[in-house]
Amino acid sequence: MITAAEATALTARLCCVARAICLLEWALNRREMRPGGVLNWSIAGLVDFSAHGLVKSRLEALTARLSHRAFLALLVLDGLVTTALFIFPANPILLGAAASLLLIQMKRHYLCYDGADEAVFFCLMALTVGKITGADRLTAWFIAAEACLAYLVAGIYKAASPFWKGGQALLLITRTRLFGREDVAKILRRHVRITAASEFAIVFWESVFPIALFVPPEVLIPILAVGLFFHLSCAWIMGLNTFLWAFGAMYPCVIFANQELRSALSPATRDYLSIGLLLTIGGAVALLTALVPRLRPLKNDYLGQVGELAPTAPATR
Amino acid sequence: MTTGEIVAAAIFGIWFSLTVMVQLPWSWCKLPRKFEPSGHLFPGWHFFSPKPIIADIEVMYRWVPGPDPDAAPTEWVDLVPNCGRPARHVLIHAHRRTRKTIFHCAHQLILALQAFPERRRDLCLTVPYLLLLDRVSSLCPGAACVQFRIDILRHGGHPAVTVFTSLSHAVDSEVESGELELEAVS
Repeated sequence: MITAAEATALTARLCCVARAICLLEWALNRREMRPGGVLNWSIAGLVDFSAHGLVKSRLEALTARLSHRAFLALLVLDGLVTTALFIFPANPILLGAAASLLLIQMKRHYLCYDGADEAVFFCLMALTVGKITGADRLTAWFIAAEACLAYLVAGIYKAASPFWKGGQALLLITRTRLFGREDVAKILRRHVRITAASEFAIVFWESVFPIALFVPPEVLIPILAVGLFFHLSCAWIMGLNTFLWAFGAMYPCVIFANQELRSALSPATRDYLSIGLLLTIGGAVALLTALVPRLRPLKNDYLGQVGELAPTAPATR
Repeated sequence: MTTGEIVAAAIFGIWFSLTVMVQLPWSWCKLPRKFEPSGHLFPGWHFFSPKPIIADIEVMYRWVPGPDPDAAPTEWVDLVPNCGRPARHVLIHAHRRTRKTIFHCAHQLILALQAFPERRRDLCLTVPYLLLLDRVSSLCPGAACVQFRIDILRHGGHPAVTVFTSLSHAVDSEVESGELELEAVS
């Protein structure tokens, strides 16, 4: 059994691991923040923040005013806060500070933050609100619900997509240099049926993730293990290393919510709910997979931008 | 329930409802993001969907070595050489953000080009353009001029297509747009 306090503490600690990795990456890649680097703020900061709404633009303007040295000092401070938060995961001041420092970094490097940064920020903000109000249980519930929503949305969007059919999307992604691996792409190309089955398995698993709230522990652990394996594969194939920690951070809260729900519901109700939800979402996924026709990308299509790119010349390589 | 828990329930309830709302595909559903001060409290969770990344956007550059700007330029060189994906990237992927920024800058330039094809010349005043130019210039010390281009590389038998070629810029001096070619150079 895991308590709400333990679940939220574990979530905070896993967020700290994600943050520590990011900070280490910043440290290794700090040259990019200087002139000549692609994160050079003297150029990236030229963007017009006034178009972003009153409060948001003020926050961005405040971040923009930080000198390079001040920003580096904030990164060092973030390292200290992250370490302290790992030791004291229930401290609301440290949680708030970690969230604020992460927000400053996302504002400063608005060209390169990713979904993992947003997931960590989301968890840190929720934990801060939960600690200030003394509502660990609700925080754990909120984070668990958000995890279910995140996977459900990702799964349903894929199921309804004309590109996530027959293994096509997996093949297309793994072929790219940005998110792919040549060796994996070759294997997927060679085994078309396995590729199609793997793609459907990803879409199905993501979509039915909300049943993790109702299922017995013997089913819950494999569901979460598949999740960790999925994120580990994404780290290995796509280079998305921090997603493992960012989304893994939500899992303790999912385990807590599962325990609470199962203890609150009668055995029959929770079983009916598990099966009902599985059939409803699984059926919707199967239906969308069958009904939405497979679509191949257009000749000049990339990244979802269907349009006239007006190629000026064939590239010579 | 304590007062704190009631407050938390209200905050989390509204927060979750609005997060659900912004996941919906209609543009009016994204309205809460406009009024949210941090800009990151209502994330979109549909990663790589409905449409996944299907092509690489590659930035290539070349330069004119030496002091003479009229000399012949070098061959095009990849700005982000493909180094594969070593196993250590599972733990630490230091250049992840660099690659993403370059990709994002190139993507922004292509989108701007699509939206305003007649204002092609103005692109050199945009932040993505300047970031790429700054990066390219830093890689060519002692060069008289530098130039970059953006290719779209669809794999599986599709030829790479150049969709944008920058002006040729004198290094350490202002853009001399009058005497430089706007059209693609292949």
